[in-house]
Amino acid sequence: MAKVLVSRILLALLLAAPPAAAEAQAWGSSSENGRAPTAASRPSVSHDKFRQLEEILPTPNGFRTASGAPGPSYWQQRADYQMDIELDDVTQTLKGKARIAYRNNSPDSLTYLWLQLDQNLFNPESTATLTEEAPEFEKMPYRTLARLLYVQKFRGGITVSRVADGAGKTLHHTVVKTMMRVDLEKPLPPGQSFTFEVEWSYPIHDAIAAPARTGYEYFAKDGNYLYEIAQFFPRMAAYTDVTGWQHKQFLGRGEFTLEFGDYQVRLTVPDDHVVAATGVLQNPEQVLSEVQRRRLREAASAKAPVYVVTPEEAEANEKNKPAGKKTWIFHAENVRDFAFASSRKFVWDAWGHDSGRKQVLAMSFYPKEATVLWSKYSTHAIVHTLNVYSRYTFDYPYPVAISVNGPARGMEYPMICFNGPRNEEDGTYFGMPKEDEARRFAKYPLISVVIHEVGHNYFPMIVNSDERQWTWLDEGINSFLQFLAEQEWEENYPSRRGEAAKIVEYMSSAEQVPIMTDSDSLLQFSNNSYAKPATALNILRETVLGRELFDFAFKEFARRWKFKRPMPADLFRTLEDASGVDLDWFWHGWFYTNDHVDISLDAVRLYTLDSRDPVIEKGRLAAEKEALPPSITEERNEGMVHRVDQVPELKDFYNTYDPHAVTDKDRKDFEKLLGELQGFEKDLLKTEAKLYVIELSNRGGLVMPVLLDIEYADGSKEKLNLPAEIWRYHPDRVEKLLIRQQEIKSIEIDRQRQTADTDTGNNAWPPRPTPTRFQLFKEKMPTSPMKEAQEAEKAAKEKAEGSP
Amino acid sequence: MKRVVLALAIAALSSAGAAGAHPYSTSRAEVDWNEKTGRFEVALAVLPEELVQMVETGRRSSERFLLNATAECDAEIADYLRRHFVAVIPNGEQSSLEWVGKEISFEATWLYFELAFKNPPTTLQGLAFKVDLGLELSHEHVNAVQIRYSEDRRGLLFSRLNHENRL
Repeated sequence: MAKVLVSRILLALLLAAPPAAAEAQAWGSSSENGRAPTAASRPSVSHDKFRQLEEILPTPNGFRTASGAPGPSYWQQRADYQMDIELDDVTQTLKGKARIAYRNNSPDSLTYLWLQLDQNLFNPESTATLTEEAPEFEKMPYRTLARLLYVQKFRGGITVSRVADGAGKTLHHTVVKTMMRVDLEKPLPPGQSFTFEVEWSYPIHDAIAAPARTGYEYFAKDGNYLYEIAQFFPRMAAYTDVTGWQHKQFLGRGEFTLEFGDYQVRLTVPDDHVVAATGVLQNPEQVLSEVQRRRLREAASAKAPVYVVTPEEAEANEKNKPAGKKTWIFHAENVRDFAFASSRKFVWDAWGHDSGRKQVLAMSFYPKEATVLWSKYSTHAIVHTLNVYSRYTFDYPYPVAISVNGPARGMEYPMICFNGPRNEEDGTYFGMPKEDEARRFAKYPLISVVIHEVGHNYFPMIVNSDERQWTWLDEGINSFLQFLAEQEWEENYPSRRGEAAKIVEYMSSAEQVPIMTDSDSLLQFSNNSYAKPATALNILRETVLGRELFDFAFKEFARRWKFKRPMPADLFRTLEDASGVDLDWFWHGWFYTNDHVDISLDAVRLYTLDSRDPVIEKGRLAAEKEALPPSITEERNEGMVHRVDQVPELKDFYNTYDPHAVTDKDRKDFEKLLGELQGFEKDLLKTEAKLYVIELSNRGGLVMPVLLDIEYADGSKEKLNLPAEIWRYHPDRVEKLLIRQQEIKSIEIDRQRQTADTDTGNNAWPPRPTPTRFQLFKEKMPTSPMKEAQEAEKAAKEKAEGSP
Repeated sequence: MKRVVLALAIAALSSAGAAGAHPYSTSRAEVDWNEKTGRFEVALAVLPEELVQMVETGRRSSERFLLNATAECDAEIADYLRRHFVAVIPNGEQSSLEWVGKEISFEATWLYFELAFKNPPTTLQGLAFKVDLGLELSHEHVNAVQIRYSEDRRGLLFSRLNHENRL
């Protein structure tokens, strides 16, 4: 138990004596040197951590209100597409024709339109290619060089062969790398639509040779291709109230900013291909067998996923040669994009799932190389995602949700996503841990990536944020919800992001930029735009607002911006508006700065009240003196015969005077004092409370609630959370008074590691050493396999040599 | 003219890839000075699939590297780290690495080792750290290192153009 030295507070008549005026004993911090930081060593965090964000956020207007909701004048453009697409499985090329109906809902007249030509990313002249930095040469993997050479050789990019208005009249257009401007013959006024046509073609690139979101995978063993096709048509750039035309070049990182619309797409592919796409298949009678149609119907009400194409059928299909072509027709409503996958290798399973008042068909498509893992987990993961995400946002509004295995590692589109993880070639995925521990985990990448990519249907496919500008707004929110969904999958699911403790090293690392940084300028990309915002939202939920308040506010954000385009300010404002809590300090610290959390419990001081009653106070002093152990000299002098004992006449008054004895004068003085006091003042003198002053310093700069775990001398415990506003006057150092009847034995800050505190070594009083991760490992695992092997070798050697 | 040595990395990204279009490409390390032993004690977190690729890239064998509980696996990882996680004191002495052990998990594989010196440093001043593991995998890869030496704490970041940090 910590030794507590008591400082007595003398109450003045006006009760004005501040505690700081009294002398108090301070005990050191739990930092390694046991000393509180000096003013000079303390980091400067003098700027206003609670300054309101109004100065930074855009001024509210009729489009976006101060509450974070869409305003009464909110508008967004719309683009409806009718497309004919043909996939050439011999030349690996794609050609298409689109008829785009663009509606101008903005208050502006438009004299030109911008479209996105994302395939030009693969053009050797693209900004992405020209600005790619040199790789590491010391140990260059084969595949890195292969990729570089492939990118150098591959003449990717889109050829736009025709742009014409609805009447067939050619429209002037200018290609600006990954963007294309189409000049209008006359301005498109507000409230009017313009229909035009585009024809194009491009070579599909090898997404294994050069990993990308879209492309093909060639399977040499059976000679077949698997296509995951996305960003394949000229998509309307977004025109918004915030950016005007969002036509920042596509550099490969900042993803897509798109408009909602309806799609009618005819996909012509080899007649033995199976196709998965955004939307609902319109002509199953023409492209599916009767057996497949029956299985699909059965899947809708089945209790588990049902094969529409079995693994055996898919394997037999691989040996086919196409007899011709088939056209699959898909229709999708109110989506911001369209993607599809096509191959004769696909196994296909499906399972009906109720989402609110609608039924969703969850479906997975995968080659035989992935069957073991995928047939077990993919469709279940889709359904799980819809269940969890819908609970935190809104009912999934689309009729299908599809997960496809192919070359893309993980990429999202409306209703369909591409996911990479597969089982091993021998069919195992978590067997043989003795041989390869990593295989034990193979299911988790698949489950996690399916949750993540299906989850993107909510953010940004439906809550349609500007990905080109703000990666974190969809990736961070989605990673947060992914964490929640993973934790509901199984107990102790090994989530890589979400828990505060997992962001600590990043938060205190060098070369960071704030979350509020443009997508293409981010440093430490995945930590910045996925992990940190996901963790921040989790902390907001668990620690700052609590689950009930957060969940209500977050759901309100999702509801407000469903099928609309939110900006970061709309999230910040809505979460404050709906929770009723001023969170400007939180957004400021976590999203606009690189500050980190390091709150130090520097010292604890204890004060008790002087009762002024001589019987009590002198008795206490006597007891304290009595309790002091004798000095070594006193102890050794025990029994000594003193001079004054031998010659008693040497004794005077002071030889018998007891300074702790209560005198008549003491009593009279006390009675006089009581006579001058009012009733409540007399009662206060009887207070037996202990006044603890907790000294805290903010060493990381990021203000956060102070979470105290207090243990008392009698063994009882208390949790006390001090809101972040405790730092509002002095963001670098505060003192908190705790008045308690009981003696405090110990105090710890953030015991459950909720705040991403980067140095837990200064979080406890009394100070105690915090073992490092290295030390903990050594304690629990004193031997290593290498050491065991060495010992086994030594034992064998001794045995061979005949040692006992 | 320098010769480029191609390195094998057999593990397919797709077999154990991370979620999302953007790979994690990051490691994090806690480096604590132990006054008694005169060594840095290192706990380094690497994603298991990235660790497999690092080790495969760093060796000439065409066999797949198996991440498991064998001494051979530990030795290969230690050998890789000896080349990619080094401290250098001002007199030019380079740390030697002594392997302690590892914990394999999907969230992160934790590697534990010590950096030892014949002449242990008495201060962080002038000390250099060279941490370039995983930089061959992606030009976006970064290694975040938190160093604690007595009261001194430093957060360092190592990236492709910043292999070395001198304190």
